[in-house]
Amino acid sequence: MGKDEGFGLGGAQTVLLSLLSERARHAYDIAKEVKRLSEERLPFHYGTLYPTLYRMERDGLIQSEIEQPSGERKRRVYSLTEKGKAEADRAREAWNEYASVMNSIVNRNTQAS
Amino acid sequence: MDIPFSFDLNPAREAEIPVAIRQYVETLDRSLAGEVSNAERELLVEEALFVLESSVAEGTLLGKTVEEAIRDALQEYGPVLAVADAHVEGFYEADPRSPIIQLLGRANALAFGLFGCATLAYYILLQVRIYLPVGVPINLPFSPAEVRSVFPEPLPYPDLTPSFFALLGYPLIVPFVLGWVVGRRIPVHAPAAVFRSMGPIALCSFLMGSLLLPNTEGLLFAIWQVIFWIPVGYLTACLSSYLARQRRAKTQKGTAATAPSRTQ
Repeated sequence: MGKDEGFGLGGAQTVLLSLLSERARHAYDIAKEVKRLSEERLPFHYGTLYPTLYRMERDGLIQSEIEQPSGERKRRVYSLTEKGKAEADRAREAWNEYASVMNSIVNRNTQAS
Repeated sequence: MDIPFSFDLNPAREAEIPVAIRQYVETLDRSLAGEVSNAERELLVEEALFVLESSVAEGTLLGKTVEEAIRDALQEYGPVLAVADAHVEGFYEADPRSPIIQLLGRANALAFGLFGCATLAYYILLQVRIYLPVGVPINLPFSPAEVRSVFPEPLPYPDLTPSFFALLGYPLIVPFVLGWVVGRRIPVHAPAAVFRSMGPIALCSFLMGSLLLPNTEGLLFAIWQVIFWIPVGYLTACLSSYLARQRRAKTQKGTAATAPSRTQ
């Protein structure tokens, strides 16, 4: 994937829902985890991350609280709301369905041979 | 370049923030001034410092030089103005007051409301002009002969009624005024809000214009909106928005000069 390519806002939301369904995370943790899990193939700029987080918070999918561990800087920690947890389940199912359909179409020749 | 740096994240040691990161967060701080509350601004700057310092610490652990780690951390965090815009837009769009505003977005709703009302007002004016029975024309304090002495034929001068001037002047002035207001009121992507809102409005104007046929003023107005209101509204919003940003940055610089900076 090219340096400037990312993924659409819908994809970003699915990724965030998935990561936050594990535990509450701050922005740096989210970006680091995306880099690690995608083996740095998904560039995730904070300029993309923050609008998605704000939109999800506005839609009631996530909530945030300020955290400041002793001797460290303040940061906002995001966690899923009940609505967000339901949306995470729905997004996971939708994604699995989509991936399964696409896989059966795109890889049909590979599977046949 | 000798950059004093410590991986200690203790806020008390802010003098040790690398120069490039200090400049970045100061620019971020200035870009947020006047758009988000001071407490939120402080938190956003703190969080940017946390992310950048953590990225640099991680980069150096992976074997990068401090300079490389700083450069990569800043690149990964993104262009400072884009990050500032993301924050400002996030706060501006927060807490929508109605489901419609939530659906459209606050910026789009404001631009749509202003330009939509202006369009509606013009159509009312047009209806009055076309359909109101007027026995005696309302004349301006100039006779046609006096006007013709200044603007001789063949310059068009169909009549001297106030409604004619209103119909002619209103569509000329409105995009400048509303573009300016939108640029002032919407902190981020104001021109885009003008563009997005004017699409459906122009479409409605074409429909309204079609209903007014055989009078062609409505259709002419719709065409005028596409060729004049959209570009002029867009460009005026660009200018207004740019000047508003410059003013906020100057105000912030003035404030910073009289008070000790948070990052110093």
